[in-house]
Amino acid sequence: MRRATERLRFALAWRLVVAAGRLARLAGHGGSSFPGLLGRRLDPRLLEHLAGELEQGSAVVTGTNGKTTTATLLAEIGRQAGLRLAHNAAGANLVGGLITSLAGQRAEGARQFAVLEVDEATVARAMPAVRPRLIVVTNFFRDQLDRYGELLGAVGRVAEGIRAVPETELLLNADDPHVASLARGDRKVRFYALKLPPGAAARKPTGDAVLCPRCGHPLAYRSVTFAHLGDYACSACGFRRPAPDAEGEVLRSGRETALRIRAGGRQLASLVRFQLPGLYNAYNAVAAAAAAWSLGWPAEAAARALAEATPAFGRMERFVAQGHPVRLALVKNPAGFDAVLETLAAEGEPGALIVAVNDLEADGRDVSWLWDVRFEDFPELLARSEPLVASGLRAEDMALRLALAGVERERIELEADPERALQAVLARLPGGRAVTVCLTYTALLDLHRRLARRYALPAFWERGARRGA
Amino acid sequence: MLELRIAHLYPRELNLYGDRGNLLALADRVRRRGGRVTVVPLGPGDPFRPAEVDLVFIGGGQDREQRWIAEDLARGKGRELVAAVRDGMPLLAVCGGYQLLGRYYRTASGEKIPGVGLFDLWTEAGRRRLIGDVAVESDLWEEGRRTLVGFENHAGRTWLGPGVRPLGRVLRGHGNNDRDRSEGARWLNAVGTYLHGALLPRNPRLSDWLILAAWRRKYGTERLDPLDDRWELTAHAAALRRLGLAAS
Repeated sequence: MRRATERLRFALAWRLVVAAGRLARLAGHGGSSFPGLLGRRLDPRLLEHLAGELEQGSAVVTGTNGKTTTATLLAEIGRQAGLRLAHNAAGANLVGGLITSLAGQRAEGARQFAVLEVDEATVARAMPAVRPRLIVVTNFFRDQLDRYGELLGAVGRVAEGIRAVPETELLLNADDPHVASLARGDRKVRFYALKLPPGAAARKPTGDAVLCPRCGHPLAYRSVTFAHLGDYACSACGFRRPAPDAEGEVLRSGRETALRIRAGGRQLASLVRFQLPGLYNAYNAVAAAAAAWSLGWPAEAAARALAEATPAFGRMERFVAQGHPVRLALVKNPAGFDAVLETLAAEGEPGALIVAVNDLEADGRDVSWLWDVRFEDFPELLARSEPLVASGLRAEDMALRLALAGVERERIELEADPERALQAVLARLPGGRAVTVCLTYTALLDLHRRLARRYALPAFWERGARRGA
Repeated sequence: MLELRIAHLYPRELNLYGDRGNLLALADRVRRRGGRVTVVPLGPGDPFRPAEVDLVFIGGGQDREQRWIAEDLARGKGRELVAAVRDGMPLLAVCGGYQLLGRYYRTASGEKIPGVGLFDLWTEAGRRRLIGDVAVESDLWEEGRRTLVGFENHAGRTWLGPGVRPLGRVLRGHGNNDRDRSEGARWLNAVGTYLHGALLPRNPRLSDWLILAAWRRKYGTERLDPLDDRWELTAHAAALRRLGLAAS
């Protein structure tokens, strides 16, 4: 920004976004895109200017699953390391949301660094402006396929974003063949991976990445950690899982997770215990710790931040309503939904279960992914959840999904409006019993907004900003 | 005990858009009638043994996977499938599987992937993907609820030859090629279609058409007992409503 007019335009655009963001918040709107897009009309290079002003640059997290949790953990590590950093809130991961977050948090003093979760379809467009120091790619699960055509389209878009910033270092999940195939010879690339206790890795891979991303021949797996993640090799072209630079060894997994993390040949954290359940969160923790290591942040900050971690927005948000513990869980694709079911099943006492499925643009217009969720594998959870309510714009499809998972047809209830479903359940549930509500993105956003005042929930879009200041 | 043995072709390679829901629907309807379902997964290299199977299902995949599968089908399995269907075996092929069972598929890059020729049809990739909810009026039945509902997402445009009939006429959506209003194809007891969704859960009448074809051939079954289809029909009606069609 050399010229004075350019500086002035940037300063005006920045303040416009900040003001519009405050207004939107006062008006009770969770939408985070609009202020940023407004500011960009005044300064078309606003994202580039905001990112360029950060003293120590930024890190970007992308991939289909786990980016919110990974980015949240990385931001916490950065704060533990003493950085005044900006971090975009869950869902504000398109260009407008990135601008709104960076501008708003800059106004509150977050000028040193930024941790940005970026939607995989937005990476190609946002990277030339953001020019991060590091791009972290978590995984490619089947997510909103109709939006991108096919899975490989998402991989291609991320690859395009990476090509656009040759000076940016990469941190890739070695266990996901599609992610590992993004490695390029023109720059520094590091890999992270997860190691399970011996004997725990005898699962079969699921279908997302069966073929070699290099040559198209089937991959053979020596072991599988989760879905299609694991130790693979191609018999035809020799493509195989790269040796990891950072590795997390799972010592225990369930309601809480215990990990040992090594990076660059030395112990980064000898034992990390954290509250986030499931193997998928072990991956998120290793990704965040490895990213912090790649950025040169102190190892103690990582251990401390992970130990204090609580679930990111919606990935199991808890509150108490009319004496019942209520939990909201975001579900958006089969792997994520399976992970939620696994967590619920591990807890034992299920209580009431409401599943709300919407099919708006942000959810994915196609709900056929519900058939890839493995409800059949949790018969006990479904049998003991009472009541069991299908909800959302696609409540009828969800009800049918439960019926074909073996739930008795009489037990399934239908209430399209998630809030009405929740209130009806709360009104008749025996005292103290828990309620779990699984929702797709727009259903969660809407329910959260409607419940926020009533149960004094923190407005989620404020979180990153408040803590970032 | 009544039994339905389903050969599931390429379950690991072709499994897009919840196609496993089709197997869940078939299994549910057989079980509720007191029968037993066995699913035989057949991957590349596995032999197809028609005497051990009552019904064949093949799902959809991405272009890369299709090329690999086409090679496997060309190694004899395709010929055996054609023989089994000619002999009356019911078969359901969805999207990518449907295309592979035609004469050929020409990809966007111009490459011609040879098909099995089970259906007299051919497919050429178009520029725009055809995506969205679909409703079809099917010719499988002459009366009653003839609609089928599903979700399509395909780049290929499929054209039918004289040797097949369409599965039905498009009421909403794109269908085979976005031009002639046809959707899917039918030859004997084999049905090919672009409808995901998954297809069978919301179209119980089509599930029963396939099951009856299998059991008629195996046991001489004339008709199937009706089932409690409240959730199937609720979802079917909701799909029609979303497309602005009255539930029949």
